Amino acid sequence: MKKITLHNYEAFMLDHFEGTLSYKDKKELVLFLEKHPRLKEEFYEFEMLDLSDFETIPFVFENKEEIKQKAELDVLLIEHLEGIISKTNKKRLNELLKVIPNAIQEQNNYRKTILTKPNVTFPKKSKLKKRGIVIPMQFWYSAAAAIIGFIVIFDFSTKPQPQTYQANSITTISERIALQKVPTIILSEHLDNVSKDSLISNNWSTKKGSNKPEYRIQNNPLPKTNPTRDTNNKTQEINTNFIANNNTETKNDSLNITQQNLHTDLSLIKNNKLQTAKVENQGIKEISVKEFLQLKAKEKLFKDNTTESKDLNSNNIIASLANKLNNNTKTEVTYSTSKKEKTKTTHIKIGKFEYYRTKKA
Amino acid sequence: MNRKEYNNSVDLYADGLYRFMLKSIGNENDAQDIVQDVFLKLWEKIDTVNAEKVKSYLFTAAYRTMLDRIKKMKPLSTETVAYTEPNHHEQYSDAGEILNKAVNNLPEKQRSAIRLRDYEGYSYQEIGEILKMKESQVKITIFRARKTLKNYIGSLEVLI
Repeated sequence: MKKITLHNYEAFMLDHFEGTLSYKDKKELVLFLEKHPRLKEEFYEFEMLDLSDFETIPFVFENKEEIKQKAELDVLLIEHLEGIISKTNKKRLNELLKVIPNAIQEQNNYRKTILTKPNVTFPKKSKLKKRGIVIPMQFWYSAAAAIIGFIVIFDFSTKPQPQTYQANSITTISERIALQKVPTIILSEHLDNVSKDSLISNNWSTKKGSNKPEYRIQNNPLPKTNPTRDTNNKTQEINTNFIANNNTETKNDSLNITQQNLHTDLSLIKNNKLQTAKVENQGIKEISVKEFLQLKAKEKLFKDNTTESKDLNSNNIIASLANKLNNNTKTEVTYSTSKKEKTKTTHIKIGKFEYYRTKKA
Repeated sequence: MNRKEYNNSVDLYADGLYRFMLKSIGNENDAQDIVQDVFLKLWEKIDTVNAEKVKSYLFTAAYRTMLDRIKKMKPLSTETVAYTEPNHHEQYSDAGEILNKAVNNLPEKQRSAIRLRDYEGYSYQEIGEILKMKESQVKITIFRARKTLKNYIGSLEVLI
C-alpha cells in the first residue's frame, strides 16, 4: 500500500469512486482528507458529478452533409480537371459549385495544381543520334551520280576518247548519202565508236527469218576513195566498198561499207528513213535515224541484241551503269532491286560500302 | 526498330525525358547522364524494342535508373549534404515556383505520377506501366497529390 500524499491522492479518490479501493486504503483516504479540509471539499464535489446525466443530452453534428458535399466536390473537381468527368457528375459538380461556399475558389486552386511544362531541352541530343550513310540528295539522283562518277574516274579516264560526231552531222551525212542512194545505216550505227582512222564495215545478214544486221568495226584505215555505183539502177547487188566523200566532217575519215547478199531498194531511203532489214518477200520496216540510234543505244546499254523496246527507267539505267562499272574497275559494284508483296528493297554495293533500303511498294 | 526510328525517338522524347529527370532529381548532370544511359540501352536493344512502345520503354527505364541512383546516393547524401532550414523570407517569383516547391515535398510516387501526367500527358495506364502501379492506384495517387497541392496553394493564399 502506498502512502497517500498530495501528489497521488487523485488516484485514490478515483479508485474510491470506481469501487476498487481496498478497505485499508479507504481508511487512509478518510484520514488524509480530514487532514486537508480543502481536498475534502473537492472530494465531495467530485462524488456529486454523475456523468450519466450527460447521456440524456442529444448530440447532433449539424455539418455532416456539408462535409460529405465537400468531399464529393473534391472528387468531382479533380475528375473535371483530369478530363475524366461523366455528364452526370458534371451536372452534379455544377450544382455543388452553387451550393457550397468557396467552391469556386476551390476550383481555382485545383486549376493551379496543373504543372506547366518547363521549357527544357536536352543539350546533347545530336550526340545521341546514330549517324548512318548520309545521302543528302534525292536517293535516285545521288545513286546515279555516284555510279556515273565512278565510271568517269575509273573507266573512261584510262581509255582514249573516240572522236564523236554531232547529231546534226548524222543528218547531213544521211541525207547526203540518201541522195546518193547509199544506205545511211552504216554511218549512223557506229558513229560513237568511229575514230579518224576507223574502218567500219557493215555485214547485212539476210538469212531468211532473221532481220538482225551484224556490224563489225575494223580499225585499219583504208585509203579514201569515191564510191562507184549506178544510181539509175535502183535494185542492185552491192559488193563493193563505199567510202564516204569529202562532205563528211573530217576529211581523213574512212568509212568502208560492205553490204553482202542484200537486195537494196535505194529508193526506200527517203526523208531520212532507212530500212533496218530486208528479207525477200517480206515487208520492209522503216525507221528514222533518230529511232535507230535510240535502239542501238539501248542494245549497247543492256548488251542485248534484240531490238525489243526496253524501259529506260532509272532502275535499269543505274543497274546497267553499275554492271559496267563492275566490269571495268577493280571495285565490286552491284545494284539490284527486289519486290515483295508490300515492300520494295534496293541494294547497292560499291566495294565495302553496302546499302539496303526497304520501303513500301 | 531501325536506326531511323531510333533517331526519331531521340528527336521526340529526349527533351521530355530530360525534363522529367531534371525535375525529379534536380541535378542537370545526373539528369543528362540518365538520359544518355537510357538511349544507350535502347540502341543496344534496338532489335527487341517495338517502335510503337519506345516512349514507354524510355520513361520506364529512366525512372528505374533514377531510383537506382537515388538509392546509391542516399547514404552519401546524408553525410555530405547539409540540411538547410527553410527560409521564411524566401521570395517566390511566381505561382509556378511555389507549385514546384510544393511538388518537391510530395511523396516520390505522387511526384512522379503528377509530372508524368502534366508534363508528358500520359494516361493512367501508361503511368501505371512506368511506375509499376495499378491504374486505380495511379488515380488515387494523383488525386492525393492534387489535393495536397491545392491545400498548399490555398494555405499560401490565406497567408498572403
